[in-house]
Amino acid sequence: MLPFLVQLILIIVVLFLPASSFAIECINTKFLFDIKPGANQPSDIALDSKGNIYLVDGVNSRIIVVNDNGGWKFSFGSEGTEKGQFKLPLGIDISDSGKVFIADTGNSRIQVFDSEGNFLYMFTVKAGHGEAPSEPVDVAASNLNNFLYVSDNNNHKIKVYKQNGTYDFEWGGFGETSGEFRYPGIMTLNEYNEIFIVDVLNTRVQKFDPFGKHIVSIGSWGVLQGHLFRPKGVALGKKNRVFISDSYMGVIQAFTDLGRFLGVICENNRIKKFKSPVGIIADKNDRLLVVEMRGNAISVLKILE
Amino acid sequence: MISNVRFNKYSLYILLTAFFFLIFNHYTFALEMSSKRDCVVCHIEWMEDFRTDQETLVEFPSGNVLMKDTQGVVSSEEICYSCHDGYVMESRHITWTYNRHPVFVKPSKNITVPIDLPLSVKDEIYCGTCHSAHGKGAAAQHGDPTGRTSVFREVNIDSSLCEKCHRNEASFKFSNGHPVHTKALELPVKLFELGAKPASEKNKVVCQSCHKVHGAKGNKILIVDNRNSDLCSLCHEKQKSLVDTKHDLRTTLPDEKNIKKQQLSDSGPCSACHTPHNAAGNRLWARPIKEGNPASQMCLTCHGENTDYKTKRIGEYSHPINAKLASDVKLSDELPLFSEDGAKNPKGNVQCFTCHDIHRWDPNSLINKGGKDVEGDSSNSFLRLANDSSILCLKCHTDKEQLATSDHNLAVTAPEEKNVQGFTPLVSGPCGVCHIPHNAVSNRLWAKKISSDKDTASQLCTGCHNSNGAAKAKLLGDNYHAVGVTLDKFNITTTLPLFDNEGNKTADGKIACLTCHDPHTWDPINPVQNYTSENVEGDAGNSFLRKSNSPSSDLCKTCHKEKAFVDGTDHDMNITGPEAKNLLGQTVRESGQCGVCHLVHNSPNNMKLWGRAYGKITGDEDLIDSLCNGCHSSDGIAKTKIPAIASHPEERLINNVLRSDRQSLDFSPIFDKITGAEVNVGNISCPSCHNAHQWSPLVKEKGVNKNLEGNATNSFLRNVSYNNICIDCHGLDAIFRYKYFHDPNERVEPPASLIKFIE
Repeated sequence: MLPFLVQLILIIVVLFLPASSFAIECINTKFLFDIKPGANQPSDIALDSKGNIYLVDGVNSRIIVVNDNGGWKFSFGSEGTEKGQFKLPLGIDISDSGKVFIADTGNSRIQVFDSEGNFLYMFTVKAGHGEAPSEPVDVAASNLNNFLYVSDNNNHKIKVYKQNGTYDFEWGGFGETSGEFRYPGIMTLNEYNEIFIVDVLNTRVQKFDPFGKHIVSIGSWGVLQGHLFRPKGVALGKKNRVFISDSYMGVIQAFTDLGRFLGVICENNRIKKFKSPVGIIADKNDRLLVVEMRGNAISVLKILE
Repeated sequence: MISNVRFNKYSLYILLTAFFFLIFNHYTFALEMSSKRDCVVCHIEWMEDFRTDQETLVEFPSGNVLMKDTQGVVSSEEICYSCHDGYVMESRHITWTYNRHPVFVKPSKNITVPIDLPLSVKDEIYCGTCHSAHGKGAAAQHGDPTGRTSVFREVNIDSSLCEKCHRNEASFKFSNGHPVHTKALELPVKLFELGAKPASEKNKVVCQSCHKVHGAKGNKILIVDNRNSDLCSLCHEKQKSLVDTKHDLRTTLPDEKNIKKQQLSDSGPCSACHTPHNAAGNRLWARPIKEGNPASQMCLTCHGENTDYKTKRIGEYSHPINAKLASDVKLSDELPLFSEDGAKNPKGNVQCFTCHDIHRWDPNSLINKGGKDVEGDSSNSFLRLANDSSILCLKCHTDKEQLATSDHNLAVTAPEEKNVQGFTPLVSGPCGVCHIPHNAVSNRLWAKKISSDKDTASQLCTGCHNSNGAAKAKLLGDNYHAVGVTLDKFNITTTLPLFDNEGNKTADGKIACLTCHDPHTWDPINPVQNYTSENVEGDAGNSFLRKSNSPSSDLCKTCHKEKAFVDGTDHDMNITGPEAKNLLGQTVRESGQCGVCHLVHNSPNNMKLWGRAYGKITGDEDLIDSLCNGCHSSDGIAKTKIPAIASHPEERLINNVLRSDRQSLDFSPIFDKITGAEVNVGNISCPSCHNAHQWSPLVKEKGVNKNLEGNATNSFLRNVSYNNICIDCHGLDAIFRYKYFHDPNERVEPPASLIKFIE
């Protein structure tokens, strides 16, 4: 039997164990460079098969295209309601076939372009009976089943279309329970067509199967590591990592696709802070591209771990 | 190692207690978070539970960071942005793009922030001064028609929230500010497309018509960049034509600043003269201004004589301002008049703005801007109407309209003539040849050089009517009516204008050409309808005379009233010699009654400007008698009225000093024998006894329009008193001798050698 003093020390250690367990878990990265193509509060990002970066410069009503090193290629779009024009677009995704889908938020529609920025077609994200006008904030194009997922954050739903614009089904609604949303935002799909959806004011990312069946929620409310306060972007990386940006806390955290916290994106073991990070994406070279909305830039990091 | 540890029941109890303490503590923390969660969406700083000794992913500032005298911290801009970035509510283009209302600054001295709009702990304006998610409009929908919004502390009907602090601007009438709550202009759709907030009524101007608290693209939180005055010109579109003209001071005075020390490059061309708030005077005037009518003083700020600006001056002689129009002149809206406060008023006076639209260089072309180095002329120069045909002048000076249909329209008669500005009539307009509204040479806005400051009013005419002038074909000749003399010594009064040396009309002035002539009106009675030829030969009925002078010489009679009694007498050629012609070949209908005998200009005869051939006289006869016997001769038109004896014996010279007063009843002039001039000592001649202009000395009236046979009481005799000149030598007997002066049978026998008969 241990002396009482040893037992007391053990008890104290146990009491302080939780505190010591909150030491920051870092996933170290190396900052490579910023891309500053003259955007005004850009929101989302997508990559085509050639590695070109498509950036949604919504306040300027355009899409900026740069190469993987940030070199300017071209831009398309202007302010308006005509074909090829935008009103405060927020979201983007590119299918394997190279179609560029733009969530033209202010115009309540999806516009589709080829990789050169040529307008192909568009369709309206209609509001259902009793619904508020739709505000599509992001799109996710499935390469398996030809679905196009649209997050309508004004009705707190995910509306699913065929990629030609034919409405298919929807799920969600305002609420806090699993499968409900309070302002669904950026989405991303994994190789199984499972969809990860940022649920902004519920401070979580919900994972669904392709037909909207809830699988798991990632993240919880708070300001400690592993917590989310204002999640905005979600991206999938290698090792089943789910990266989630938090625009208020200015951090990116990594979870497993089942929601276990992995760590905070750091640089030199110190939390890497971003200026209102929103859309994020990880490329095949293990680079993490982070859209800094208030930095008007894309921050490019190399994931080291 | 722990597996080797042996616990007693006490230690186990302690460990279990610690375990449950941890679980319970964590559970309590979660409950706290859940109950506050909705508040903490915005008020993260309120969440004391977040302020742990663990490393958080956000930094918490300490203390009360924003609102003064309140319960604690409120939301920060960053927390607002975390929702208003489009993913909950889209405000990026409004709140976080371009400019916004200043925050984290102390209110300026012109601003009074009411107590219900809180400042920060540093007494600074901050977001929460205006905004609160829990304000009076918290439940209102976006765009609530009553002005409530979910984020304002107070309702904001027609910018009422703005006016709570900006009271000076709201009281625009007292602060010389841009009107608000007015509906005077139609607000363009474009204004609202660019971000103006519609007011409760159509066309109502409110603060947010021009200003945008968030997302303003211009300085001073204007909805658009106004460095080119694009915002101003949205509503004040007509004034946009100022851009690139000389009045766009960016062109002419680029370093100029207004009273607020604003530079044109920053504040736009309109700001050179106007500022929307706290202006110097009416019309949002942004420059120093002197006392007087704003509708003129605004121009004179720069163009007056006593300014420091290197701009065009109006000169010593400039068109009058504050002038009242003649009662019969009515101007249309295109030429406004102004009341004393500078407001347009149809009953007001002429001001600079009457003729000038200072925002538009060329009234006929929006494209023609003139430019910095372009010298203006009468077709542009910011005139409201192109004046190259003098249309603008004639709108007011309607009595000058006939000039265009006369030889004084130099565009026809002297198209190469130039005024002092070097402009020909085709450029300056008919009026501009002789008059320029600013920088004139002399009074009457004279546009020709004058040789001296003497008799200016006549120099206006002789400037052209001289041997080298444009009117050299129409000269005065060597003998012409007196000018430059006053009338007092002749005891003449007139209603015709007299002039001082400077050319001003004055009652005791001198005779000038302009006394008789109105150079703007060829015919005072019958306006010329079809002026097709130039250099018309005039007569006494026209010739720019102020009054028609034929067949009755009304003009002459205006001054020479005593001579007017010739009218209707035998000496009125209308009665006795209508076909008789003067030296110009004019009959009385052409020359007028006076003109039959007197030529005002170009008379070959100095004596009395005689306009007829002198009668024959012999060497020892008085020249003055030749005026009479030109007609009263055997081949004259008065050949039936030839006295048998026409002369007085020249025995001795007569001194008539006492009878040389023209106003005297017994006035009897004596004339120099050679020159015919009135003298005091000489001999009796025809006019000594006869006044050719009055039939009867007893009746100062016109004649009876009949050819009369006279007697000793009329017959154009000067007087029939007992005190006539005859008495001086002949005593009272003269009364009888006087009667028979021309009768060789009855008159007292003079020496035969002295009796001469008129041939």
